[in-house]
Amino acid sequence: MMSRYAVLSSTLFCGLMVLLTAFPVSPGWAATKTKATVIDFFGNRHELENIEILGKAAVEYYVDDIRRLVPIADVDRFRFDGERGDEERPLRVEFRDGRVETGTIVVGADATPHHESVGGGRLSSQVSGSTSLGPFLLQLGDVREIIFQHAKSSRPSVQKHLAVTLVDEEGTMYDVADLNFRETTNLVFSQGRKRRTIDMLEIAKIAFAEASSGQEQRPITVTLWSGQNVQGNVEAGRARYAGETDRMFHRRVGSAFTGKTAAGRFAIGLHNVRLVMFKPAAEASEKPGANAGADSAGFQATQSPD
Amino acid sequence: MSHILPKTAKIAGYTAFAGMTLWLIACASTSGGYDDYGPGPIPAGMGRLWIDAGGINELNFYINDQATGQEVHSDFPRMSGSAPGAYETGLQNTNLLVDLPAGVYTVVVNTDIDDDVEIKDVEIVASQEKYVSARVGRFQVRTAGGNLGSNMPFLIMDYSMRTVLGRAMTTQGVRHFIVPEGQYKVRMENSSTGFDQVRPVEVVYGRPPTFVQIGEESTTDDQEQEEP
Repeated sequence: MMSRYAVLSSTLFCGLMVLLTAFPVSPGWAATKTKATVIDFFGNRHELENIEILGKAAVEYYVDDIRRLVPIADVDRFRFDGERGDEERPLRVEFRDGRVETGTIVVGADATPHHESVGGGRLSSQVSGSTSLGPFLLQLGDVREIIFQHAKSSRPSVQKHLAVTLVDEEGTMYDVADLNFRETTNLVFSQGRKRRTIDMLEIAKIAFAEASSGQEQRPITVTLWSGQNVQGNVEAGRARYAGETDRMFHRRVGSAFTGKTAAGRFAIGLHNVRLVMFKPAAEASEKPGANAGADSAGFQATQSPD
Repeated sequence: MSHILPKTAKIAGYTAFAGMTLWLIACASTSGGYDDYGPGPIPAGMGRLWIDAGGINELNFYINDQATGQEVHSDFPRMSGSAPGAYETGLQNTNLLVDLPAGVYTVVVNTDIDDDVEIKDVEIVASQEKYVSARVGRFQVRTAGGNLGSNMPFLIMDYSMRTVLGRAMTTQGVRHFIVPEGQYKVRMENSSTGFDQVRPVEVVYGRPPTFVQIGEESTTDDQEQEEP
């Protein structure tokens, strides 16, 4: 005959089991990670789970010498061209939304350590993951292709098309499509020591304060579509940094905002902007260039360094 | 023994005991952060977020509520990388511990370069601790040699030296520059003297700072040769 305590404990145990069955516990670390097929230079295929490239969730490469940091979650396939042992290899990136980009990627950055840069450990230039046989490591220089199999729950980020009317310091208006701020669709500004990032889809207007020629920081007021106002500063200095090349300098100073007008490519520096008015998302897909006129062709803020 | 004590003493004793208890409860419920005795208990109805920066005690970061988009916490104790007076304080306490109401948050860590480290979908459950890794590392630049001062500006670039990611400055005190884990180049140039040095820097999460020396320290032999 079972004691009263035994009956009570068995009832509790059964109840707990029922609860666990009804509400399964899924810890955060158990989230599904990306699977991929990795093909090496010899044509061998490796099926990997939990794949990581250089231990990061984003891959850095260059398109026309412009740096891109692209999340792996947005990529369908990487194809590495070139030869084994190259420090920099041509790269073809196929995105999940069908876009294709070609650029270059640095794969052998750890090959030449400097004797005056010591300690701190070494990063592995590796593609890592796990197979059914155990952990898997392969040097990125030995990879030919990576084909991702993303989980159904993981959605790629949607490409944003921002259309704006931009007014410069002389009062000229430009209708600009596909606006980017320093190669991204996020506005970066500072509030004291804090550096903040706002998705430009949320912005209705950016008003720049009066600028003087030697001013490094320029105050801005950002009005969001929600009606909220945010104030901050953007770096609008025109002084050249020691060690900066011509290309870096002109890109930093003259091409903060880039985009397309009806007449061609558009670029302008932060020292030269007075107002940016964003169009609602529905209008963003319309053709640009209504106010710009023919004289805005390839407008570039080619302000010479003071 | 208690029957010997007068009634007023008993009342005073009870009042003191109740006061101490209330004071202890109040201290416990407001100490969301880290004090000299370690972290306090998690306040009721909140969860605790620990940002694991691999041995770094202090970061500039803010936290946004993903549901509302509103900022719920921010802390920026570190000075900018190009500030000439900044130095490592050697503090033992950390600011990487935050008590938050249950919810889903995005943590954004500002580094000394333009790239931030963003950690999305951080789920905080009431009365539980949550650990997230901010994959940042640090390096230190030291200048040596007669022509180099203690406040030398330099640029932090990507490894292929196509993009300037940030500006920084060496200081007299010990100074660590915090950047996302990765490979970079540091360039220190002074065109008037023809000085131009580039060093590769590899920064790894959870490792000690990478030590970069620019300029050559004079050795004892050199000093002896210089002397007449």
